[in-house]
Amino acid sequence: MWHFPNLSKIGEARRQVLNKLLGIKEVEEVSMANWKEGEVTDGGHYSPYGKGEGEWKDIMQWDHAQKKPEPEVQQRKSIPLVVQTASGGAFFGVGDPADAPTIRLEQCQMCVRVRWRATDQSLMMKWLALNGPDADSQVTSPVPVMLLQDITLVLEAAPKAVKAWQKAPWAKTELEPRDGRWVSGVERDPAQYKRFIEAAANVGIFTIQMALSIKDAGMRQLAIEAFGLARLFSQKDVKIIHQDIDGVGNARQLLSAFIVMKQGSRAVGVQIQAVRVICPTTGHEYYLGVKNGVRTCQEAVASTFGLKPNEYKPVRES
Amino acid sequence: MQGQIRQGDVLLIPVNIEGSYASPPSSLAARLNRMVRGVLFDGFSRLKAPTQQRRQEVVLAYGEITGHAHRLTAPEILEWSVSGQRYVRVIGDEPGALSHEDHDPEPALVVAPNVTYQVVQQQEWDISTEWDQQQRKLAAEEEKRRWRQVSD
Repeated sequence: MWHFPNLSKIGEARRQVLNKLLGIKEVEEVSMANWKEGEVTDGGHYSPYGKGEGEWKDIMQWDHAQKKPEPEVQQRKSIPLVVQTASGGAFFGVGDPADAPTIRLEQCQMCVRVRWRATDQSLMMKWLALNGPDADSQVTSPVPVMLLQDITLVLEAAPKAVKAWQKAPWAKTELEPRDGRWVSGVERDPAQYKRFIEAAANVGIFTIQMALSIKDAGMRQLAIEAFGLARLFSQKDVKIIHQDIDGVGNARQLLSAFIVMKQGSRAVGVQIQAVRVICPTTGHEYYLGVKNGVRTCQEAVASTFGLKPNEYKPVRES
Repeated sequence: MQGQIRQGDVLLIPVNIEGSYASPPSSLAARLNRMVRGVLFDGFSRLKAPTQQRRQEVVLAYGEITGHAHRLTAPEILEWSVSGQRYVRVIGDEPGALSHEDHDPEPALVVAPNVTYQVVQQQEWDISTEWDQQQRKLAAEEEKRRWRQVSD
């Protein structure tokens, strides 16, 4: 079970100041009562960042002239929402859109795949808010509560969309939250699984502990790959065991992280090591997992090529 | 360039493998020679000589995600494998060129001719192994605690 701060306690004044600082337009509160199934009206949108509203109007051909905006409702309520994060994740859940820039969603589901996802991200979000995912989409089971960060778009979900999301065409056979982690019973699409883990890790709801606690070795390896050593070693309190300069003048570091995991009633710690290297031509930074007990960067890098420290001596590196 | 050559996650290590492995089976005498030496020094496993391929381009490694490839090009390259280990050898007087979309967009003439190189692809340790070992250790401790001495 995850514990998240109760964002509903954020005061109205603080929210207004925050919105002003972030340049967020006040959202227009619209009642769900205006919705009729299958009908496109102007009641179904939320765009606290002011994004997409004009485009939305163009695409859906709303007739704003005929309908006056409803007055601001002081007492905000939790309503079904479709939320997009900066990392591109599409989520559905019940929440209060006033909680921007983070949002707390209850019964939160993630749309892992939409059939025509590649066409247009903003159009896809609007489709998900109006009609919900179709039978070819992949949607996870609901997580009791989820805190989403870096919100880029919040849309109110139409009743038709709510029904479609709740059908969760994919969830029952794929991913389910269980004991605070996702469990997958099907390995039919590792790439999708990795994308899901990566998206969940990007929004901070998937941890390395969750990855390590996956019992299935294959799925665990995929999850760790998707989570990424770079993310792990940039987040954790890491200890530098050794550092030096490689043959082309780039810094190398041998790092160690200690991960504490709760197992039953006791905490179990596990130490992992990685060497941080920089590619001499691209300048990209890489983290390579190495065995515990390795003590120098030279030993670490040599071991990744199956060599002893004194055997690894490239005369040319690119 | 006679030393080790690293291009990204591929390392070419010069090795001292001569004779039948480094040259194509040109004549019946050479094949017989190889067979005899194989039986005398390495047992019958060496009777089955590795299949050597003559190429002008060898893909040393291929990036599944990026689609980029580490390529070795030369007028004539021998490529073969022994027990899953790959070897390459540039034949002729000119060095072979190494290229890669990121690491060497311009082919680099760095692979020495008539030198056999072992092709090694970089690997990394699966960190979940540490977790598995920890789990096994805990399970063993738990098992140990469940045993007690028989009362005398």
